[in-house]
Amino acid sequence: MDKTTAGLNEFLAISVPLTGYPRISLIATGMADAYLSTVRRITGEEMTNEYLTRTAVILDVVGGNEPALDREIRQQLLASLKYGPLTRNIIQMWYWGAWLPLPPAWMAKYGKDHKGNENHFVSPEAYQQGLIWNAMGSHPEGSRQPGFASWSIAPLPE
Amino acid sequence: MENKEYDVVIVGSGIAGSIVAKTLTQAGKQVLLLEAGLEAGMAFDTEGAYKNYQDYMRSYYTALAKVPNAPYPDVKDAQSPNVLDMAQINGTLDKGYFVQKGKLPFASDYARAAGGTTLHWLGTCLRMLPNDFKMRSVYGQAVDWPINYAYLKPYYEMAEREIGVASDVSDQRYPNVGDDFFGKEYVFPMYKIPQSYIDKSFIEGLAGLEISLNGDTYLPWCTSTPQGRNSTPNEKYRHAATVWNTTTQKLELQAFPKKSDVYVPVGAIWDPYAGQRCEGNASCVPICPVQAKYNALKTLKSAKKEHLTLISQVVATKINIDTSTGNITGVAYKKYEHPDSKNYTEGVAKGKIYVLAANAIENAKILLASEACKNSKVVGCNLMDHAVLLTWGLMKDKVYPFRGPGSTTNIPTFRDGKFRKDHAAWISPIDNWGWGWPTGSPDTDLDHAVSTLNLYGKDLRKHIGDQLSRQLLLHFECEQLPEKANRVTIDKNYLDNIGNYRPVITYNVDDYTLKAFKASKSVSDQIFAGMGVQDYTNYPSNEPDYTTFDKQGYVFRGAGHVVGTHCMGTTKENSVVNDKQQAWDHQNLYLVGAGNMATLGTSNPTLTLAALSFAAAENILKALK
Repeated sequence: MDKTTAGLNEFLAISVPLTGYPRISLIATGMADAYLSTVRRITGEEMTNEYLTRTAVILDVVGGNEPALDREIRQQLLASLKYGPLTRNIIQMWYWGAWLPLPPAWMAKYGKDHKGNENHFVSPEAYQQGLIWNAMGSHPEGSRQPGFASWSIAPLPE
Repeated sequence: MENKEYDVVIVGSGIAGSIVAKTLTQAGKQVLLLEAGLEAGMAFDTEGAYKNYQDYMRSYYTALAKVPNAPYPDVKDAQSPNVLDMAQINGTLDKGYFVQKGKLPFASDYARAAGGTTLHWLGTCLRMLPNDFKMRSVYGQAVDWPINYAYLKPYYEMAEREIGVASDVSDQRYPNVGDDFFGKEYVFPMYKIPQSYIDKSFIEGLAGLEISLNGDTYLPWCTSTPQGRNSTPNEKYRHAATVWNTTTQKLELQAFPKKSDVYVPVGAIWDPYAGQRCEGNASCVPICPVQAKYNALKTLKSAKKEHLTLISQVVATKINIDTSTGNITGVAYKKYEHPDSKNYTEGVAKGKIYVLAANAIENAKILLASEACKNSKVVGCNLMDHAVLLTWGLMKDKVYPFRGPGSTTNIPTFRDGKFRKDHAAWISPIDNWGWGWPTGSPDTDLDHAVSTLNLYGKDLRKHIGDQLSRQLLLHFECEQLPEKANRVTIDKNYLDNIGNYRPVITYNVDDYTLKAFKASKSVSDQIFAGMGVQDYTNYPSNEPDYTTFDKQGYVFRGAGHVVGTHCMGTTKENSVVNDKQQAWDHQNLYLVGAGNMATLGTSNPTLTLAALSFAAAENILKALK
């Protein structure tokens, strides 16, 4: 596995419970690599690897037990001052395609001197691949158009 | 262009300038068209036009705030106003392009680019109502126009052909209009754009609901909204083109030569087979990816090429006036080489007749800089816009917004009525794009769900599915009367990158419109209660256009309907142009665009300004004979 895709399996594995979408849907966006690279670029190698190791351990320990997984994700990731902001950013990146600025205090402590921590779409494709549109029964505005008169009927069930 | 005298010099390639240019060139006149924006938008070679448009799309996808001007280049030498710059005033005069000096900021924008603001308009194509032209004689308010609805009616038909309006006459029902509002057996070029899933639910909910207003009872109804976007052609439509008849000295709608001919939708400028139907991109504002929505580049493309000289990156600064005759002798301009550099060359364009078609605010700026039309003393005055009050809530059931054209249905009930003696009329479009406008949805809802509600995974997905699919947004677009105090001026202390004037704007909303906020909010409350909509409307006092009336706070928004500033009227003292849209003070100067509108009414102004542009073109052709 080359450097750019290192950790991709781990990233996808934790992204499944974080987003509520199956692995195949996440892969189908074509964005997994770009999102992981964004995390690496802005928070650094060390923090990214530490995060992926931590999430892999969580998934390994709880196995397929969903209530246990929920408890671990909440207690170890979302409630954590260290991992919480990053976890919320990863969720929002999958849903909206944009990186949200991590708090300056967090960056100072964990993000070292890495650059790029401003609000931005990862790429034009990232906007178009946001999971939010499917979740709300729509499509990205300006893209993946559903066709003439489609708006006058309810969207097809998934 | 220095050495050539054209028949007509036109400033601005938006819908008004493009209609005049197309009509005149097709009638055999030599036209010079000056555009302040970049050449790129006018690239009519297939590859160039396509590539340019894809650049616009990339800018749109990556723009954090997908505001009307987001996809288009930000040119310092011909800057466009941006709605993101409309801050509360509090002593801040010059954030962005406008210098705001009034009590409230003027919150609308326009695009200084080839194709003008039709690049990012919504496409709504409503005609004004007969009473809109006679507000003084019917309601004792403002002024009457020097022309009436009957005068404009044939030009409305030309405009509807040019834009390619999709609508069905049978379900257009407006207050206080007769059976002759549309011509006998009139049909639009295309059948109506299908109404949205939201509309159907809303129409069912509204049916039979009695609304109280000012002690009267109304039974409001819904009407499908005529739109400038491609739908299914109506085989009964029989008009092939608008042509100049040299014998009658009139513009006429010419019939198709053969019975079997039908209207063909005008597709993208790079490919006639793209954009033949609206595809439901749901991004009409700021950009239709396939150009199924009309824009002025389509009109410009159909001008007669050999009679049209088109030059971009040329900013008209001033018109030169022969003081002995009052005639215009040239348009002085600055041509910049690079969008942001301070370098430019100067020149003068010459013609027999001059047409300013540079948007109401830019037209006023040029007139003021030239000390033109001085007799009236109202150049720049009477700036108007629709003050849009928004109300929003969650429907009981899922209606799946963020799909389809921005709005496909409206409530026309309050567009006219005796209440106009006391307060503004309004139109209520039903929005198809959720709470995007007032709250920045959907990403703000996502952030709230993740950061505040602490949702993730399947719960987050379910929450998004439940909440965002029930969002309802109503507009109450309230008319504003012409007020001398609402105006554009110039000031040598506020210049742009190449030393041209920036618009200094003094703006406020008076009681006539404020009373309509109160009245329309009451109507909204009754609709929400009657339909079981959970009301989430709120008007924070830190919003730019926060204002109070009768102890209640309201936030309104600009509609992008920039109207007035060189109003049409009956005398050279009360108006800038006459009923021919010719400047009272300068025989060979015509002003076109929404700046000519004497009052605003409740319709989006583009169709009316397009109709007026055909009328102006006819007057110019008569004058040139």
